[in-house]
Amino acid sequence: MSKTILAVDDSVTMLQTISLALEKEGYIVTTASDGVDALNVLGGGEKFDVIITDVNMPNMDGITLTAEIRKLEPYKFTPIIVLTTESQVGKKEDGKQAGATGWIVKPFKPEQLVSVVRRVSP
Amino acid sequence: MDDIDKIRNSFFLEAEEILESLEALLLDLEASPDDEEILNAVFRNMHTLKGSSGICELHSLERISHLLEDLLDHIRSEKKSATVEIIDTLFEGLDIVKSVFVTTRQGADVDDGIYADLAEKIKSFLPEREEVEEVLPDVAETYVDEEFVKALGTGTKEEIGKCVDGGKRIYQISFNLDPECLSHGTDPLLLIKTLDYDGEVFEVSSSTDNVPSLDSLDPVRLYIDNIKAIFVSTLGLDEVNDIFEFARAAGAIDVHQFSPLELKDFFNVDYDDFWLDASPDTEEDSEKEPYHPKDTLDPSVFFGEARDLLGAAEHELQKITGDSKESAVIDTVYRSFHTIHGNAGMFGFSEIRSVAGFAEAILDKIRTGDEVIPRQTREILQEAVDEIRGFIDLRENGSVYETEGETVKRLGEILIDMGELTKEQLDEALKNQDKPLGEILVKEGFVAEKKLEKALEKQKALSLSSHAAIRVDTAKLDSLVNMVGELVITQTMLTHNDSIKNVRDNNLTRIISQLDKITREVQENVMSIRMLPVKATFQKLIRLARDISKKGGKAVNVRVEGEDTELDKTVIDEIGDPLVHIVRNAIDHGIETSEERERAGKDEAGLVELKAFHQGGNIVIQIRDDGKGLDKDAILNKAVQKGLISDKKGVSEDEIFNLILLPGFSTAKTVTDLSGRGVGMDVVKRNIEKLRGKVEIQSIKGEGSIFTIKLPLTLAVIDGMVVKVGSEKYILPTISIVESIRPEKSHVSTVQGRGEMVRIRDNLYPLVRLHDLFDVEPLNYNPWDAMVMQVEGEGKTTCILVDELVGQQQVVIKSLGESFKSIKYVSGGAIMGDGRVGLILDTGGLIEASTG
Repeated sequence: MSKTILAVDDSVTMLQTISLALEKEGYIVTTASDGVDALNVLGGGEKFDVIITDVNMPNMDGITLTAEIRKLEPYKFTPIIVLTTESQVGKKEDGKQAGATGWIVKPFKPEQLVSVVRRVSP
Repeated sequence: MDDIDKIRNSFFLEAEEILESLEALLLDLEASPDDEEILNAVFRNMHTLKGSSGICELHSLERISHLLEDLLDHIRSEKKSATVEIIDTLFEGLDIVKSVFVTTRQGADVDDGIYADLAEKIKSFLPEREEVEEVLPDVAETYVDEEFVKALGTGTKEEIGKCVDGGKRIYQISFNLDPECLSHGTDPLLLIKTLDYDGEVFEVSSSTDNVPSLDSLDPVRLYIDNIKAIFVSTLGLDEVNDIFEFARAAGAIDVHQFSPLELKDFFNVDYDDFWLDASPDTEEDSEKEPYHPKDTLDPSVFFGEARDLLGAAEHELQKITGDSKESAVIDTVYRSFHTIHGNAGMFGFSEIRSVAGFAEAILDKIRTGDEVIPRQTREILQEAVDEIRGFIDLRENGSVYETEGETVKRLGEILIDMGELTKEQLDEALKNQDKPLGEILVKEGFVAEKKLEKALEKQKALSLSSHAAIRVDTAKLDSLVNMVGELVITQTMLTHNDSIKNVRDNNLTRIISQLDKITREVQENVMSIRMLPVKATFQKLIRLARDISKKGGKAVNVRVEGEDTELDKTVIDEIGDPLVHIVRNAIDHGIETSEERERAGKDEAGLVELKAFHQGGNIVIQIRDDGKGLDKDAILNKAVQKGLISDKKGVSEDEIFNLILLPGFSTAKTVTDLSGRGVGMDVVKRNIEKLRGKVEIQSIKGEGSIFTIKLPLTLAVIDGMVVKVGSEKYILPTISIVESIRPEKSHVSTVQGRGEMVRIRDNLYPLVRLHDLFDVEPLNYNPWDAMVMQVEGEGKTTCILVDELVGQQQVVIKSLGESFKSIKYVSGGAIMGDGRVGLILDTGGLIEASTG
């Protein structure tokens, strides 16, 4: 069965890039452009194997979102990958504290994204 | 048939016999409560029932029989006698078992609450034991056996910790099985060996305290307890639990997954090893082949989104008038550059990345600081917007960008002023624009933790709404609009149908009016789908105003109101050019130079105001400037000179201003290349009239001018007044009607050289006889017996003679086709209520007819 991914980012370009890169590898990608929206999707019962989220988003940032996701029973151990830009190094610590599994720095190559996803969810 | 089903069938037979035996045995026990033999027999039967139902995975049955078995075991081992209460409880239990058995046999679900009371009662007989809990369905929270884990060797712990990086999960599995489990086919050793198929078992510990000497050892009894194992696997918690579902009948099996913090505590998992850092800007990567994103990524989405973001940023930048704090504005601009910066990198657009990156850094500093963007900075940021736009255009066309990095340099200088960058770093950045800005800043630890926290807080405080939207093919939308048009026509026809009109059936009447209401709503909804806010158009105008004023060396401020007002998409597309013209004129010819303004006692900077709002079923767009206004005399003179009017006298102010809308008119003393050669305004008028709107001009010399454009809300449907002339019906656009009256005989007169006139209040208006124009036989030749409609267009007014007003109607416009375009006085066709085609009158043409 294909693995399912939830991608959260306020930029349509990023969502499209992530979707294309992962769908090519056989993953099924669901997107959300907002942290609150993402939580709604997660609360809807669909199970995801990996969650990818941008850190810098309006309304609810990725770190807060990660912490909120960890509060949800079914997602206590789901791998969460945060996307940051190199200027936001501090987010690394925050991310760890909030419960994220790994991080990728933007910009990244599609192959790198795929390899990270594979690493967290073999 | 399933294996399970086969087993179950034989179980049901066996169980029936057991239940019968139990019934008899309990009665015997009641009679002889101290009889050990009977008690043992009861116990054995209950025990068998429990085991067998476990094997058949009939868990409810299993659980109840287990409860009862516990009770029996307790009495048996404590050598107690079966008291009356106990016997009663046993009977109760047996009844429940019987009913559950029946339910299970029927294949229905068992309500586990059915034995909750029983469980309580039994608990009261037994000493404090946790075993009763393990029988109940809910799994209590699992825990880590710290002693066990801490006792693991350091090497082992390290190995386990490493597994985490591969995405594997670490579990602690504890087995607390029944001593009889072996006789039921549950062997802990086998279970642990099974785990090996799905992962790796690192360590197993157990307690052999209870193993007796060989002579008293029962080979089918399990003496080893407290079995614990560390299991590493890619399986999820649910999947691991599934492995033991069957075995759980033999006791308690706890599966605990180590949480990240526990991993850190117990296995010294170093987060830096644990964290996957896929940052591409590592040394090895930069030595490899440069990334060619064109192979895998499609940048068209990037271009579209970037343009939207730039537009938003620009719009917000323009909004900042003073040096005041504007958090929301700054945040929008920051976000735009941030997103573009991040995305541009994905596609290898390094020139865009540099500019956006620097701009982002500036705005980041501002928004976490004093939140004021000084004017200078604003301008440079605007330039950044322009430059990025240019880069996008070039990239889109596949061209190579060329830049001397001027903008980047200037942005960098601002950053140096802010203390965010050193000169050396800026030079390095300019030298090698492929190196990400962030790396430069980060290297020196410029980005402070505190600032990020503050930024985070701000982000939480500001909430921006997001709209869910989908893209729709305009062709589909047009087709839908057309269909709705047809629907409106047909529905109107229905309402106006004679038979329907004469219907006396209340029900039918109600239904028809309901249909009418619904049709109207559908129409409104569909029309609104095509509606877009004028915001984008206004944005372009603001930009234009800025450019023109710069080029012309004038200072102009632009103010915008009602940018959320919505217009039909087609109207928005068509209205752009006319508005551009008007704004150009306003700035070029209206707004004076700073010196002139100062002399006139005005503000140094001129003001151009764009307003959009709804008014009585129309959209109004107003462009106001506080310039020098229109010079009436100059206009009149020019008009005479161009032969547009013969006589300067008797021309109303409105008419004078409207002269500038005539073709071949231009009062510009010098023709600037921006405004063209006076072909502007008449084209404007024509375009607006194509949209069935009208232009009104007001102006006060020395103070400024106001151009008002009125547009109908939709193009497909017109609000019209149906009028009758003889047997013919015509439609007058309601927007052009001033009033309708039946004049007094004394108010109608014939003036030499001017034709027929009608007096309305204090004014005389020419009278146009529609029946004459269309060669139709009217009902009335006398205006005082008929109706006179005063209509207006372009500041001029005239009166039209009709027989009667039929009523206001929304009619769907249908084009008459090319061959009919040149017909005077008629602007189009429409389908009216009776299904027939009516002609829509062209007010402008009628007015011309009256002036002859």
